[in-house]
Amino acid sequence: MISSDVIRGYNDTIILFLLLKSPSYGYEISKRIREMSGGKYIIKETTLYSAVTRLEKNGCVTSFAGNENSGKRRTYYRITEKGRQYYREKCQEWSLVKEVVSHFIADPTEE
Amino acid sequence: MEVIKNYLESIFLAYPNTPETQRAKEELWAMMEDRFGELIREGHNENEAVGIVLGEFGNVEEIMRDLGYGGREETANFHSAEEFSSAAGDTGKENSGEKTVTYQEAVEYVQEMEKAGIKIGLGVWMCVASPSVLLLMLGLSFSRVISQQAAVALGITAAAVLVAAAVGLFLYSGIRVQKYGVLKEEMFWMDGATRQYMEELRDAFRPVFTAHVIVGTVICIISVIPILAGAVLSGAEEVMLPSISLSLILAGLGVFFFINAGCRHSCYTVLLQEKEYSREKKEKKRNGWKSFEDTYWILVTALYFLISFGTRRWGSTWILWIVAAAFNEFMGKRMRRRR
Repeated sequence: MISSDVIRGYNDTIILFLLLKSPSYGYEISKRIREMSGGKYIIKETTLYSAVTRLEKNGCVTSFAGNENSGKRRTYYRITEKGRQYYREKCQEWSLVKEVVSHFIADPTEE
Repeated sequence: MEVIKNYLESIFLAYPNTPETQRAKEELWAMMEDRFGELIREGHNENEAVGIVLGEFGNVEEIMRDLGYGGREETANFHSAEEFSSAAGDTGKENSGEKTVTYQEAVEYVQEMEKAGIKIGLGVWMCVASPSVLLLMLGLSFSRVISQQAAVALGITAAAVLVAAAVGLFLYSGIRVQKYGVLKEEMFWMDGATRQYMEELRDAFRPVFTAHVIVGTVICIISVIPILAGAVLSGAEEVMLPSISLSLILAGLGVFFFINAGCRHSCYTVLLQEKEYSREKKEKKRNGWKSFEDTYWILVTALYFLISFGTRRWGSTWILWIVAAAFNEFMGKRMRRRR
């Protein structure tokens, strides 16, 4: 189980990834995060809402109201071009971080 | 789900009511509703689902900080870190490694104590009333309705049956409630929503509690009447014995109400970690203070008997108790100061 502090910097990245193909709404996003991480990361509702609100403020996503067949009014989020750009940047950043940090991770087999 | 909705409302009360906060509240609610529905479809029961949804909620503070309503100035109003974090909606326990009590466990504990209250109360009533059949029968035997042997036989059988049934009830309730004993001994963490719900339940129970106490008291007072009436009106065994019997039955009934009320009320005190189950008391126990107390008094008692039997000066050795109590106080102050 990953705690939210550890992964804080990449919540935005994760959410944007899930919006690359098509728009989605809050619950579906959190569900896919849970599933795709194999249950190892369960994003808190407040963290998720915080993140999408921030992304919307930065212009990386836009929101619109949509109707499911059940008639429930849900807020859908759609990624923007700026969001795609931001996502690419974060992916590059992650590669860099992964490479840098790995220098300092002790290999358990080398003890 | 009501519990969650109420809790959500109460957290947001502390923040200004703007379109943004309203939207946040609605979005969070929509997410929790969907998650709850999914959990039910997956086969969880309602209480489990509520507990899981609460655990995944998080902390409203981070949303509020982004919206610009940072920091909670009223921290001074909270009596404990637990209260503060539950008020901020921190339903995800990432804390001291204490045991967590889930929503489901809390709800089930309350339900078990409700049942136990009735059973234990009934058991005590049966115990108090167990001689009453014997007394009634003996009274009848004095009026020549039945023979004395029959009276004794019936009476003792009835008493034995009642006591056996009572013991059965005690054992059954005891087993059901046993697993919750840890709540009284160990400190635990309960999320804010469950906490709030328990407080609501307790407040709702208060009038019931008062009613129980009043009814119990009245019945106990009334229970004196049969004995008095019997004594005043006649005083003969064939009247007195049945009236004592009736008094016992009534007294037992009054006690039933006290016990039922006490049992049901105690579960809230335990869950909310108040009074004798507060964190401070548990902390003290953990630091070995309690075990010192226990052995101390055993030692004092042994010492008392040793000295008294040895010197035979029973008229003076009682002073040992006063000395022991004073010493206990003194040691207690020393331990407290050391912390």
